[in-house]
Amino acid sequence: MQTDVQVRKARGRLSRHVQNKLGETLHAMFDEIVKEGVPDRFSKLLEQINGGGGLHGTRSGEPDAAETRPDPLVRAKGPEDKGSRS
Amino acid sequence: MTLQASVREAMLAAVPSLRAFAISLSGNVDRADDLVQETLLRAMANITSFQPGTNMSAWLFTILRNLFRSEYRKRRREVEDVDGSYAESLKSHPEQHSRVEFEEFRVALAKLPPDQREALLLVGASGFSYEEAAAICDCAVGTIKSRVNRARTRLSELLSIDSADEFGPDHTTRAILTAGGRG
Repeated sequence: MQTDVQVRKARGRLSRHVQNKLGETLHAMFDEIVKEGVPDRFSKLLEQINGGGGLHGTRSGEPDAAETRPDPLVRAKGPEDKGSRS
Repeated sequence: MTLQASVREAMLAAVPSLRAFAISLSGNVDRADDLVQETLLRAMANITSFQPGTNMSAWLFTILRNLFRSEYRKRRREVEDVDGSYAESLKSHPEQHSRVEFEEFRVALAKLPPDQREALLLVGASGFSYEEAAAICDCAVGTIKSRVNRARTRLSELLSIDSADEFGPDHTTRAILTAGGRG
């Protein structure tokens, strides 16, 4: 990996130091939001779905439009889980 | 439509980081929470297209990113919300400090083109690999790398961080790190 911790600004490459600074701030900003946990509206939403009947009330038999037509914003497949999330 | 408990748990577990991504991407908590809600609804409506064993979090991030992009195209002519509505919305957290520094960072972030911003947030904050980020953004790995590099360079310019100094006075950075509550 990179052992050169010296200032490297040529060709727009930032020093490791600057990258670390930015990374730390980004993580700190993220962590602060993550620490807020799951707002009620989302846990309730998922509970509701789970609680039987489903999102669209008691209507059944009629296939949901989303099931017959693929949603263009939802890709069929997420990236493979390579377990790289820390 | 019923959700398997495991699927529901996986979705729930992804919500905090999904929100962090949405808030940082849109710069607005209300809009971000609407994005998260819409993402969960779409995910549940399309749960059959989710392949078990693949990364639920990455799948949700993909949906949210696509929603944001399609919304962004519609709203392109509107001014980005960088007027402090985020800071405003956090008033219920009186204990937290370094608000000013985060705000400064967030304003700089909002000045990045969306493709650079999302690449940086995915790789630099959300913990995705370059490969995963490329899959989420539906582009080449090399494209993600160059977007992340450009984002970092631009941010360091906007925040006047140079190699020797931290931006702002020393205590600022320390405050940020403390507020980050790592671990």
